[in-house]
Amino acid sequence: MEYLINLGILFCIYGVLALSLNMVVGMTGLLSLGHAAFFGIGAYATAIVMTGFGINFFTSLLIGAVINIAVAYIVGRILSRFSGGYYAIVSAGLAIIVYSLLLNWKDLTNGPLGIFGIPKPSISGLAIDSNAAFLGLAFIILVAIFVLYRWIDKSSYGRGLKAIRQDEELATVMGYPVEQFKNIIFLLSAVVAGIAGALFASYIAFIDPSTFQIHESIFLFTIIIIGGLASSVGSIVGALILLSLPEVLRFVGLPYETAAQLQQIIYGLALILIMVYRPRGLFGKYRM
Amino acid sequence: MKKLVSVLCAMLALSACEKDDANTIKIGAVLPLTGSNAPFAEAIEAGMTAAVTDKTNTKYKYKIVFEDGQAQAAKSVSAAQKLVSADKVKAIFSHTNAIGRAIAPVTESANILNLNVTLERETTEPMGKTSFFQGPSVENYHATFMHAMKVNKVKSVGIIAQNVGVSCPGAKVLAEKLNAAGIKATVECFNPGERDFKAIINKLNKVDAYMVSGFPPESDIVLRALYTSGVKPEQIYGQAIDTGKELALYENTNCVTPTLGTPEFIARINKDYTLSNMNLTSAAYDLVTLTIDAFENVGADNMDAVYEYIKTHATRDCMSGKCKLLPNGFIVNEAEWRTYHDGKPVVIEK
Repeated sequence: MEYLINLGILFCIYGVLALSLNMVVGMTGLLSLGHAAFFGIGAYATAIVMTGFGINFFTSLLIGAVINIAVAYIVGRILSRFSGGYYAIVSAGLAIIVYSLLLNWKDLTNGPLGIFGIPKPSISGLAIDSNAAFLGLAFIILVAIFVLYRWIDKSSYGRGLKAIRQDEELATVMGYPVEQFKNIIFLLSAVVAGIAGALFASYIAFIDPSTFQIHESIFLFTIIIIGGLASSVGSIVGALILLSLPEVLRFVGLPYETAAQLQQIIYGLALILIMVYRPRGLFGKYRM
Repeated sequence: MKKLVSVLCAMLALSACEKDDANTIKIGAVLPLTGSNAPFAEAIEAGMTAAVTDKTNTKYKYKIVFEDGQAQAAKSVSAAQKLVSADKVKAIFSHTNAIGRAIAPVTESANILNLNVTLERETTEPMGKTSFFQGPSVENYHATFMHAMKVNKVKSVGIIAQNVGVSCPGAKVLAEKLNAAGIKATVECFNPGERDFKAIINKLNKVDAYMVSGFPPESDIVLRALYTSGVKPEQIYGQAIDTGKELALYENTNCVTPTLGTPEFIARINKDYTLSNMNLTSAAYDLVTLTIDAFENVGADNMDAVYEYIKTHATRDCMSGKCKLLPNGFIVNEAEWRTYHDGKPVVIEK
């Protein structure tokens, strides 16, 4: 049961991350590879303020959000000049810079040794220290972000984002403040990714820079491609598939000597098959 | 697609039917079985398997269940949860301080052993009652390295350290000690993923000795870059790393690491597992042997007695030299200075 609860918590965290990335990539059509950076900033903000200053988890969320807004504001202004592959490269640069800072700013982040002993959240002095309770908190946050995503999707702002996605020049001609729209959704998605980071840090109780490398951004990208671009349900299902498939494979009676390698091959094959038969992902509205 | 799903379901059902003897104690291992850290997993797996093989006529049967953690905290925690929930293991074995610490809440909640072998220095922070990590003592291998420098009359050292774990910070501490002892030491750190070390080697030009601290593949690439830039093998020292395979390719290279084990043990591991990098192997052998001894002596039902047994018996002569338990549950190994001849390590001094 604890194992399933653990998977449930990770599913909620990665569901939140996938929703946040889909706001930028799916809804708006911006190829961001920088999400691992915001995930990492949120995680480290929580880890540092909780372990170093004894500040409550929820206050640490706010601190992480403020830092992410500041970073996303600066980076967003640079990114708003780019689109397509150029956007992807510049955003990847952000992920590399943040990873490098987490690794080398030892006085603040403890460098490659990471930070351990990150406490669990507490509400009014009541600690959420069991995994089941943590799952409840993570699930509530997932639902809240899901609702937020749907609300944006249905709003006039969301329609503006979709217009940008379809044809940025046309959206500009139609009078949409394109740069402002792009910046706002980028800030929002950064804050949401930071929330996921805070949950991750508090749940695992240990973080080090290796979790927040660019391959984490690519993993998140894979989740939303498999689940489907611009689909809230797709984000959730994508996270569910990509997290649960490797776990299911642990139970398949593969030959012991090669089990780990075969699991990865089967995992890769499954992803290829999904893309072959569902090129828009499982619930996608668009192709890349 | 349907066929593939059917086959997977059938395999899943079959695996669910597997049953183990009630007398069997399962030891879980969350190791980086795939990816760039897989060589470390191979070395640990060899030590664990050798320990179980060597323990004959035991009350219990011992079975190791391996899971791939890919050296990632979240994947390792999931693997540990699976080992606890589905396999009912009594101990979980892992590699690196980071993964051991990430797994600790799982083992504490399940009240089972959290065993870890690491190449990093000892940690002095509290680790919890279920955790026992084994690795090198930084003081001990710094002292051994400095002794090697003095014996070889080295006046200047260039330390090339990877920014992983304590390699880089540890190298800076070592450099301070060397400088204080009148040996001019310069540290150059590099990040994981770097592949070109010509600039670093040029910067350290004309030192008497080079010390490489890091992990393959980067550490192997540094060593090769040193050879190809004309540095003599006897000028090269690996420190507290598993560079055995690369160092063994050249005659007279040096290494200062935790003890590899007896010559018989090294020969056996080389023969049975075709491995030459064995700091982790001997440490894994020690820790599994100690764990089996604990279960054999106090049983597997009272885990507090198991922890107490390990605490009482961890300080001993072991395969990794002298093992010494620190108050927080970290077991430090003795370091040794050795050179490589004909592809084999020869211990110079402990």
